Amino acid sequence: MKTNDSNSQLEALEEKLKTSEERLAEAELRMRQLEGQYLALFHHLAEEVHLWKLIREQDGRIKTWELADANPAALRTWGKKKEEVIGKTTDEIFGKGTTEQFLPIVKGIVETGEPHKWVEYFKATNQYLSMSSIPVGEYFVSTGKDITEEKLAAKALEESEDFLKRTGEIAKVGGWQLTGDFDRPFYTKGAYDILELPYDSNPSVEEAINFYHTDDRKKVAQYLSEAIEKGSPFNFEARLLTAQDNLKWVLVMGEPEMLNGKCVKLTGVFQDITNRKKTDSRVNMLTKAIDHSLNGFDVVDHEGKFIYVNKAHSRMFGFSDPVEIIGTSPEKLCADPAFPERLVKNLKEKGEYVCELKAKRKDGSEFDLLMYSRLDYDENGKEIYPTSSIDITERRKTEEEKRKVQNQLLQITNSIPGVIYQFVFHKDGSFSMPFINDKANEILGFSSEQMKDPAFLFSRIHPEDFESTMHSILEANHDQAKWTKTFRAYNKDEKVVWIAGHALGSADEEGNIVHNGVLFDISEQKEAGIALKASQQQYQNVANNLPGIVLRYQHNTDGRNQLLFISTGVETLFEVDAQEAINNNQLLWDRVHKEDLAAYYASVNEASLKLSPWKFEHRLQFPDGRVKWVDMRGVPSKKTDGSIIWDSIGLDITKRKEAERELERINKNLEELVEERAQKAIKLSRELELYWLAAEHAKSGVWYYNVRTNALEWDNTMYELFGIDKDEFSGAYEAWENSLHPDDIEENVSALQETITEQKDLDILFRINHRKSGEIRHIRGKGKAETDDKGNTVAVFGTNWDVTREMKLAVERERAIDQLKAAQAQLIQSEKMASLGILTAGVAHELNNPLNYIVGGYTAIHNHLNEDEVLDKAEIEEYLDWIKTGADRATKIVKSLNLFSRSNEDNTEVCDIHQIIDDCLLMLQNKFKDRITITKEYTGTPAEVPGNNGKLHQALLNLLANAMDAISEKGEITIETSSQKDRLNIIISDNGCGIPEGNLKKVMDPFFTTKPPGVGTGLGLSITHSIIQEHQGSLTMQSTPDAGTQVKISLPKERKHAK
Amino acid sequence: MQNKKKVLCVDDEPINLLILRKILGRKYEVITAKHGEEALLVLEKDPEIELVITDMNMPGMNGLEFVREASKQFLNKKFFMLSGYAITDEIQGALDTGLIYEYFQKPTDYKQIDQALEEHSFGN
Repeated sequence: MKTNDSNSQLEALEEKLKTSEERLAEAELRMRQLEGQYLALFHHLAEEVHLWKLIREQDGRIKTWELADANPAALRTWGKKKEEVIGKTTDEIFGKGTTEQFLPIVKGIVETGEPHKWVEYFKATNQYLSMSSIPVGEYFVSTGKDITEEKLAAKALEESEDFLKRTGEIAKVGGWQLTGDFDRPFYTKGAYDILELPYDSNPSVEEAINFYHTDDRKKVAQYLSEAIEKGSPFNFEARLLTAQDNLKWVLVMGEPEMLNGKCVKLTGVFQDITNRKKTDSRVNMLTKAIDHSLNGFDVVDHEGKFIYVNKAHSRMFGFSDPVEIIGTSPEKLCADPAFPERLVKNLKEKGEYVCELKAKRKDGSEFDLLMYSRLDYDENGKEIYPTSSIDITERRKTEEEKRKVQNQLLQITNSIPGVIYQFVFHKDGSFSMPFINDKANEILGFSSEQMKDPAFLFSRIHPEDFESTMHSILEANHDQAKWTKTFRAYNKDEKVVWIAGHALGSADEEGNIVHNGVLFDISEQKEAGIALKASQQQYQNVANNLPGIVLRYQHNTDGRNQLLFISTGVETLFEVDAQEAINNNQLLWDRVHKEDLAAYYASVNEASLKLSPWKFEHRLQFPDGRVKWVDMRGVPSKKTDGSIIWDSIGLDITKRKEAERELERINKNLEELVEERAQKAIKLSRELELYWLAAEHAKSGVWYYNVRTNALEWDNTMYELFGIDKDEFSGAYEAWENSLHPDDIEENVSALQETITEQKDLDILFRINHRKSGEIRHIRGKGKAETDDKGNTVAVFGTNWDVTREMKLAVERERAIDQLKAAQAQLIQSEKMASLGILTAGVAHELNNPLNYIVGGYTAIHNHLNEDEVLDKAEIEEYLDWIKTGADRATKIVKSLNLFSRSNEDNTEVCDIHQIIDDCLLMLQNKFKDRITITKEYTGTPAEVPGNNGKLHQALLNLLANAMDAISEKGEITIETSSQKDRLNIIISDNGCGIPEGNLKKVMDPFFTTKPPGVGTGLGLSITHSIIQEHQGSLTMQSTPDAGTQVKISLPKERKHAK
Repeated sequence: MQNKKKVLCVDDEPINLLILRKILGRKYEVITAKHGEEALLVLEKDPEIELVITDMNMPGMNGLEFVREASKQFLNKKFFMLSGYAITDEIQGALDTGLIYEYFQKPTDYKQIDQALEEHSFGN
């Protein structure tokens, strides 16, 4: 199928391919540049800078190198001071093997004269170091930093180099051509290679499309169809999934050949661009990494302008975006504007430059910057200066701080009056003292070298303290141990020294327990303590033997109180154990009488403020109710820390207080007595006054009748009461008797005689003719007999007062009661009349029927006599029968009506309840006939009870009438009677409207009615109830609204006679 | 006797019916019924009956109800009421509308009945 045409077409396509390869190359270049910058950033950023001098063997071979200088960062990393390391060889500084490890590198740079970048794990400092070593004659400078954490990033970068290599390979190109029916193309070997297919497989167009990634198939098919149908060439990138299931990116290009507007041939190539694709993404990643690096990164071109600045850089200099810096000159970012020029000069000479400088932010503020610059070239061969930098201001500060702290610590350590030591419990069970400072000799007089031997040290411990001390030391053989011990030891002069030891233990990596501790000579304190104890004991002895209590109390500034001492007297006085009181002084406060507590606090606070002597008497209250009095006195003194010390004594003054109070009580009683008397006197005089006032107000007259002389004395009021002038009054007994109403004389005179003879109190009521007004007045009189020493009545005296008004009121009241009674009777009568009213209509109708028979009989006889010639005896008989029936019925009705209207009070008649009910029903016929079904369930036994027939008729009529009224249209009433042993029960049930629950209680109240005014009296049930009660019976009602009412009457069969 | 006019008497009291039969029987052929329902059946059977005297209070239909029902079913009847009660508003209404020709109160004045029947008899 190969033709010349197709070859030429392939050539044309290869031209296009070249373009894409050029793109690849460009990408690669950019990648390399970025990689260089990236590496510079990560590998060369100089945090540590140190200058080494070579030391050679005699034959000129490099033996090792010694430190000529090092920057603070390096020293910090190493944990060394400058003076300790200058002039020392690398092995001396970092330990043996360092020379051996780095000799190849050093040799390399010295021999080539080229800087060398290297990454090594440095055991001495346990670091991954990313360093750059630059040879300078017999010296070399190493710069770099700890990249332990960035190690992985570096590894990833190495991988990227590998990728770059692969992108260098020539991309494989496959070709294919479609003709004829456009079904099965021709493929080149390269095409099969890309698809990873056997060379003879020859897949169809459809099969070939299926090699594309499912997401790309549609796109591929569309390009193909557009090329074939419209002659459009294509050029696109797509993913393939090869026969071996490898994902590949391919660039697909196609060129259709058209003839007469119709596609006759389609030639295409595809190129594996997988690597390029990967590179693209790698470059993106690197750019991102630099852009987002925390280190500043910039590139300055040969014209001295920034051509690249990353975000960290712009941020560091106080700009919001790199764009603000790109295109400007670096001078303005330096405190020294001449610095960039100097840097370029240095770079031109040395190729690389590391330094610290003062940099300047956008706002003019300055900061410390550590930078690394390199000389490089752009694609045009022009010089560029990539630089990475870091703000070290904070670090500087931190270093300064650290130094300060270390200095302070040193000063403190030196000023501590103790021995500082390190003691190690080894894992194998042995122990050692690796360090003990020179102060050791001050404590026991032995040198620190001697003291480093634990066995020696332990041998100096006082025998009495040896066991406990050793025990405590051995107990501290664990991680996080805290050791504290006070013990005695012998010094060089065999004198006893008190030592206090404090140490903290912690486990090291190997499992040894390392104690760092300090030992103090506390002999002086100890001795002072013992002396203090002795004097305290003395004080206590004195205090405890004092009567009452002695105490020392501390009031702290934070409000806490502390009882420092209290003598044993507290056990007698406060009845609290001394030790317990010290542990919890609240026990003492609890004893203070609640009523005295506030005053107590106030007086203590006042004395505390003034620091004046204090005295306070207060009560103690004991749970059993006893009270003691205490006289407390104290002196407050203020300590330097602001707390107040109270030295106080307390004495039991209960006895004295009791005596005082007794006196007080007696005094008070006396006062009370006087007061009481005075009050009584006032009360009496007031009562007396009231009495006179009352007497005058009541117009009571006072009289005195001397029985022996018959003289009657009156006061002024008496004359007024009787309406007599003084000169009209004879002054003799008869004057009184004559003034009485004639009807009242006998009774009152005999009452007076009884008082005289029997000395009974006189209480009389009489009428007089009031002379002045001519009115009849009612006078009440009370009196007493006065006797001589023999018991004979000598006089009667008393009072008189006018009760006319009261009498009138009494009369009125009686009249009112009578009126009420009359009204009640009238009401009852009216109820009866109302009941009769109910009856009348029914009775009239009932009478009409029998009367009709009579009239009918009469008419028939009359007609017969007048119109028929022959007298028919039998017929006359019949008509007479009618008359008889009518008359009988009428009689019966009238009789039962009589029962209702009868008004005797006889309660002993025999009342046949069945008869009464039947009578009632007869009377009520018009109320229920043809409307209500009456069911009678009468007991078979006689239903007779003693009572009043009329009243029982009235009662039952009422109840039955109510039942009928409850049924608005048709309904049923059941009347049931039953006989109990001594009672007769009547139950009247209707299925009418019922009574609402609220009304049920009220229905028996007088005047309660639900009927319109004038229809009912409201007395029916009330009277019924009282009638049943009169018969010693009971009446109960049950009702359910809309369901009916049941009335139950129970009457005794025999009358119990009321008392 | 064939020319006697027929009178239907309705009352639940047998003695009353007996009295009516005896007294009115002299001039009329008296037919009786004990209640309204029975009376309606009688009227249906015997269309010749023109005059009807009814009691007011009866079991089942009362007198007035019976008159209303009967005048609905049958034309050309004349109704009279005989009752022990005084005239109620309802009865007065029936009198005013002519549903009932006359009202007689017990005890009965038979002359009055005789006159009324004479007066209202058809053909007279």
